Amino acid sequence: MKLVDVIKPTGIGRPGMLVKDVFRLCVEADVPGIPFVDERQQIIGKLSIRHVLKQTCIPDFMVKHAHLLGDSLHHLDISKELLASVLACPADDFVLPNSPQATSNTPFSKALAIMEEQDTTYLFVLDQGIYKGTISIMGIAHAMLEENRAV
Amino acid sequence: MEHSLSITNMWISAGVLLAAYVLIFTEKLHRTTAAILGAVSMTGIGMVFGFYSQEEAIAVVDGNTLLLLVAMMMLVTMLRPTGGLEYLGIKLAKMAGGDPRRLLVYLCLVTSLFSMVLDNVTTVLIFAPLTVLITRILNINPAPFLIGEAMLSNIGGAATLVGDPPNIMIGSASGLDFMAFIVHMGPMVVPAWIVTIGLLLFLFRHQLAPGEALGTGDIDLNEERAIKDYPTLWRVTGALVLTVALFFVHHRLHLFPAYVAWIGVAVALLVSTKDPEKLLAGVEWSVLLFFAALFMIVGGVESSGLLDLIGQQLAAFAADPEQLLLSALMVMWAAAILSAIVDNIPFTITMLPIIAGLESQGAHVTPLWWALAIGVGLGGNVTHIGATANIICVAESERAQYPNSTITPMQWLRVGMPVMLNSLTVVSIIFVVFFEWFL
Repeated sequence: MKLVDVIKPTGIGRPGMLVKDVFRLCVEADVPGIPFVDERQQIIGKLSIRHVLKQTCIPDFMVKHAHLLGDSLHHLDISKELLASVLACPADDFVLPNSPQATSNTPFSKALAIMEEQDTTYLFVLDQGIYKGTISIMGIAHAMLEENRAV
Repeated sequence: MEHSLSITNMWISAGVLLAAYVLIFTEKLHRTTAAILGAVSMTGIGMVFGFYSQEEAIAVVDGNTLLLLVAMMMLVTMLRPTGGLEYLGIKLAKMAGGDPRRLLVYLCLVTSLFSMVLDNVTTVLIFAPLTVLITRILNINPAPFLIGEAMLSNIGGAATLVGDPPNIMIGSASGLDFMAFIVHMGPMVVPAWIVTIGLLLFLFRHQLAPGEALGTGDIDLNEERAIKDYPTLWRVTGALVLTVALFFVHHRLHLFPAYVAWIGVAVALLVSTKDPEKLLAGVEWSVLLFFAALFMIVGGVESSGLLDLIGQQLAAFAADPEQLLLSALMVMWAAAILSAIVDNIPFTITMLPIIAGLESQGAHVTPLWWALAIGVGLGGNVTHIGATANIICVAESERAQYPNSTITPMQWLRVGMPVMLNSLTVVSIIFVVFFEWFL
């Protein structure tokens, strides 16, 4: 089982992109987030769907009391207007500075350890500073099933 | 230890105190960092100039105050995750039947009552986010409710010895017991509470008009799901009830309030089998160190003889029974005004040795203690930074995502100023009319 086998190539977030562009890149590659590069093409952070939604669509008071909420609170739901405004936001506003990384030679155990430490389910793979793609917990699970089948 | 009393030493100690307080109030540094710097400087400079020693710096830290605070923080840390307070909040919101005015009264009443026993910050930390959720469900502006909860939590906390850190300090310095606080602060706090809620209902009459909210059945929250740990809730509540019951009789049993609180902690730990390591993580060590450092700073000024000198100047005035009422009113209003602008703890800790010193010079100081307690308690309502509970509610209003829900400093002042002036005026009238009660 090698990390290189589960890398998914993805697009990269760049300054000036909108949230909808980022969401599209994530959906196309089936990953929860993508790296964000500056003008010098250096990865300076990541754009995460979860982070964007948390910042824009779920107020703190709902998160704190999620277990109490009933199913009829439709007026607190995400409106079409909110949806449109979120997707039209500049993606730069949602860049998280922390972007957990690995290389193609990173062992699975180390990759999983980094995910646990950083409380994330995906990592960016860079070889000598060049972005190769993303590995996710789903990719690792898929590789484990494939490996088991081969055995 | 004998010290040489000199005007120079008094000036030096006053300079260190002033520098530390400037650092604390300007928030250039974290207040605990500033206070520790001040305590270390005061002790070091005092040793060099011979007016303060390490032994004295340690001895002036009021163990009764700090241990009582630690114990109450531990009880709160055990109670908070059980969800019992959220349960009560949702029940009351449903009882209000969608009427914003009743909702305001109920939520303010429950925060006041809990603030009498638990610390205000914890009470507001629990009720403020819940209030935002309830008001958002009812589609009404949460700002009036958040302002009301913070203000009435501050007022409720002033009613008991354990309700507010200044009261704990005053109780420890004066020897006044829990019952004495209830009996003397209660007749001032209850009218102040009524005046405040009345003013809030008037000032926010447009936002709280019935019909502004959605109907009764629209609070789609399941209070049963709020309680996450029934056994711990009952056990810790039992320990808390025992603690409060013991507070009522601690003076008869010759027990320190801090010892009573630790009996409560011991019982709660025993019956709830919670990991003490987790409970200790819930103790606000930064706050406790801030208080300890302030005691050391003020101890240095006291040791230099400056506070004695101030006491001697005031004694002639305060010792005259004819002037005692005026002195108490001056303390009350000065405490309220200063507490509105700056943190009330440094002011309270500075006043403790001055008032205690007046007593040793023959003045009858009991009314001054009550005046100080009610002054710092009500003064915190004027500005959004007057009390930590206010800051929490302002922050919560910013996260509410409702039109015009964000409480600006000026909005707070427009409500806080009349609330403080009216409540303190009513309290002053009660103080004057029933002055013998406070002797």
